[in-house]
Amino acid sequence: MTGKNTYAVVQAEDEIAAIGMAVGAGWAGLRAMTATSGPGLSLMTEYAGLAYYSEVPVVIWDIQRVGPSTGLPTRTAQADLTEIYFLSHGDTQHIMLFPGSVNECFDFGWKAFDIAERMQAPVFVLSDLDLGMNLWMSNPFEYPDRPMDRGKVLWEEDITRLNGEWSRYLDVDGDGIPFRTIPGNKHPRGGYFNRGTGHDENARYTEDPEVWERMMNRLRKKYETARTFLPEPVLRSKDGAKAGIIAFGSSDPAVQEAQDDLEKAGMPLDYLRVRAIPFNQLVEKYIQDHSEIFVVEMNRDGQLCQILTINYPAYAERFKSAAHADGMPLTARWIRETILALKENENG
Amino acid sequence: MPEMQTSPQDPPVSVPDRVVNDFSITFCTINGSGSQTANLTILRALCHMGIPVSGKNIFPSNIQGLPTWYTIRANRDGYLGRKEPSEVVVAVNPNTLLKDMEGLQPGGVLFYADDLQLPVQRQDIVIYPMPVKKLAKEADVPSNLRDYIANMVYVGVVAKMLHIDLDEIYKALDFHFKGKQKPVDSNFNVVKAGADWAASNLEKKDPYVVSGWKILRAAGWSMEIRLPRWAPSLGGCSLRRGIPSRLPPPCQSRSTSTFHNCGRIL
Amino acid sequence: MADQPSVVVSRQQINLIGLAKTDYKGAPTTLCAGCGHNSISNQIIAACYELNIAPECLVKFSGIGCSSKSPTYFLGRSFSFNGLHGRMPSIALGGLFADLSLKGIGVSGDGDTASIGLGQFKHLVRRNVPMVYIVENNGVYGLTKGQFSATAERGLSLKKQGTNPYTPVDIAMEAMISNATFVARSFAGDPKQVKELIKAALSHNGIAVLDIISPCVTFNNQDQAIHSYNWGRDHEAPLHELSFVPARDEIMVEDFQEGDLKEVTLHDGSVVILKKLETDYDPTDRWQAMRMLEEAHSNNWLTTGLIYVDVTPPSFFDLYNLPDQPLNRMKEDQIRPKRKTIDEINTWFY
Repeated sequence: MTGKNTYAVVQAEDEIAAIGMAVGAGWAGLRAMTATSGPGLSLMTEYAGLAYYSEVPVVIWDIQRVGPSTGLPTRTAQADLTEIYFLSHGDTQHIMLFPGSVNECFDFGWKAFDIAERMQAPVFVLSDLDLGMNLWMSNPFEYPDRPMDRGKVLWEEDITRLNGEWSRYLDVDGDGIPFRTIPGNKHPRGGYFNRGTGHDENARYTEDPEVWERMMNRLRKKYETARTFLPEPVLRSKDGAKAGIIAFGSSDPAVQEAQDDLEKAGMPLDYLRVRAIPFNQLVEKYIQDHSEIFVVEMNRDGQLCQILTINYPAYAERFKSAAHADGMPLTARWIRETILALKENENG
Repeated sequence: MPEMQTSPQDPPVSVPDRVVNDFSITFCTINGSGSQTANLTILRALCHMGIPVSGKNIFPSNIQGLPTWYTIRANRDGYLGRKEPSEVVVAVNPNTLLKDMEGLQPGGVLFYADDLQLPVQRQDIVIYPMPVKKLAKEADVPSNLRDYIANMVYVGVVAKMLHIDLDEIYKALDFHFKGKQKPVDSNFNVVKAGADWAASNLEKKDPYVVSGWKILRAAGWSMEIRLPRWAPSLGGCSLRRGIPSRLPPPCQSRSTSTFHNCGRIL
Repeated sequence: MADQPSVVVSRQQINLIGLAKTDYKGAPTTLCAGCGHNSISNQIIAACYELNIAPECLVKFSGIGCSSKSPTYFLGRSFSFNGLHGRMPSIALGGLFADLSLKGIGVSGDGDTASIGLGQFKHLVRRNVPMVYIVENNGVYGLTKGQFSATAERGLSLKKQGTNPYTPVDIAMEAMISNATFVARSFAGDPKQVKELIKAALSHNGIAVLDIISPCVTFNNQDQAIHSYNWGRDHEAPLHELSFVPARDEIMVEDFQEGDLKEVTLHDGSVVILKKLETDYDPTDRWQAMRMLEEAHSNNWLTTGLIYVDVTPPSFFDLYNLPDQPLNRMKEDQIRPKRKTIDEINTWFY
């Protein structure tokens, strides 16, 4: 309308600068994102911890490809899960999204911003080279079906209404999510000091042990709240299934085909495609409802399987890892044969 | 039922008359040679014919010279994950020709650039030569573009032999070159040259074809269109949207769980 | 007539926007008494007060280090982001997009800028991001944490470190090479000059790099007993008293005029030579500025004053065609594309 831009794209000199700019912008009240792959994500680690602890919204897309190291830079993988899950030193917990199609990439594109600003946290969206660099058939992209969620933000009139009494890191609603203000807020009580060092509810520097632990526990509570804000898993069930598959991301077409093949071969399995961490409670229900669970993924060490085991240790023996990584997208045949072999190992 | 000649020890392999919309084709080319344009053109044409397709590019980490493989899978049921090996191979890279040939299963199909020497003899596959260099040379393009346009020869030959609609190839080229008439025409002319040459010189010995909704409907097939819940209603929706004729069964839920709500966030 | 109690009315001075100097202050400093950074903080307060900028219109950024702690001690009402070691430039760049009416003040140190942060520093400068960038440089004489600073002279000797074999990073020169549009150097003990330069920097529509030599009192060293030998000698204090931080007086330079050379002895006994630029020095001449810096380097002087300024280039944000209204205040109907845009986008695909 005015001929002016309401966005900016900056080419940073490296990934550390990129995440820095995004964190600075997110802190200052802008929707900010950057995209990278494995090595860049490794560089972004320190900032990820800062954004987690000082509660700054930012969106990071990781288009996964084969590592470690330079690895196979033009081949696909799903191998950055545990890195992101544990990203940065100290106790961190990160929000992760797993789009499984081009349509979901579009949807999660805007949803990730809503989640980041609502949760005041970094949101990592894990796509991969297969999804990100090939042409896919898809449905037309759909316009967002709800208003933008800018999260809990106080402006001048809000602070005035509170008589200037507000605290940056106070859990007022019981969901672990505090209110924040944004630079440019003209109220004299609006400003606060954002820092990665220990802080109290008023963002003041402190080394007090009790305060530190209180902050960290609130962050953990906030993470629990995130469960309800994230995309739910997708279930594809088969009649008579007692065991199930868990998978995520772009392996979806191959898993569906394998699931249908196995059904034809007399082995019906349900298939749950997880789309976010922290896991929705439906994931736990699914695990409870199935005697064994084949976790299918494109990495060597079964990273999703590891994360599931950490989250649901009581069901650890139900998880069977069907994982491999050679840089090529999974085939239905590999999935089918691997599951059959896993089944045979327990029988024979 | 046509019979394939194999080695004396093997019994004759019987091949069905036609395998429609259910195969993978891998293009084995050199990165940076312009094959990306050719491959995406075929992908787009198939999509607009109403055939569910996926395309996967296995490319090297440098810009020019190393091998690239592009695999298109057509599947009438909508299964579009990677499938190995491909039934059809288009080989124009001398450096990988041996491996590309060896990867074919008996009954497979090899299209190859006829200026390349076949490194092995195989009786159990169908082999179609393509005069890539010759037709590229005859094309009306500046000499520096000849190598790029050479790939259009295989587009034409493959299109003819697999029954890919040439109108759709043209439209795909038009999209790719953003309607600029000159490159669209020079590229399509080479496609046509390849297709014409194939029509005159090659006899179809393999079963793999594609068939778009136009032909299926003309042949009296009923179009049962099953779409996942997340697809928009058809109502006049053209194939420009790439809605395939059939897709994998939609999301089902068990019992009364709230699994229906894919993607809802509070 | 009954005695009236005498009422003392203390009337604080206020600036043109009705604020007193106390409105610009921060928390009490926890830096060592006599630290040069405290002096710089005071001059930032004075400069902002005198320029009549509301604290709400300023945003502070810093990295990690003693210098980077100092934003707590000035402009307590302003928003502030104390980020990561060497990574303040990127945060500032991203953050300042949000509201172009805000002025950014970045505070860094010689380690933060000349070691870990050299890359981000130079890219910030080459982009001409409009902010004040202050380096509170206590390493130029080489005694930060008992290790050589990147800004330490080659040949400098430290008792427990030996001799520095490396050539120094000259922050002012680095800024020049990166095409900074404002380069200045000063000394924390010359408060009048510091204040004037900060005021000039705040008024500059581009990156304003201030390399301010800021004497360190304790060298921030817990493990090794590196004390001022002069001090130890004068006070006969045992050198193994590691935890005692002596109260120091701040080192001030008096009677330091344009064109003067001044030797300053720092707390550790080392000496720096300051040279104040002449009144007829032309800071708009880039060649002269570079030559002057080279000459100073060969004489082992630290030249103070406004070294270079160019007001003509556009600032970073000028290149982005951004609206006047702050981006971070825009409502959904201003930033979310209209519904019909999605139909247009869908036509891009085959």
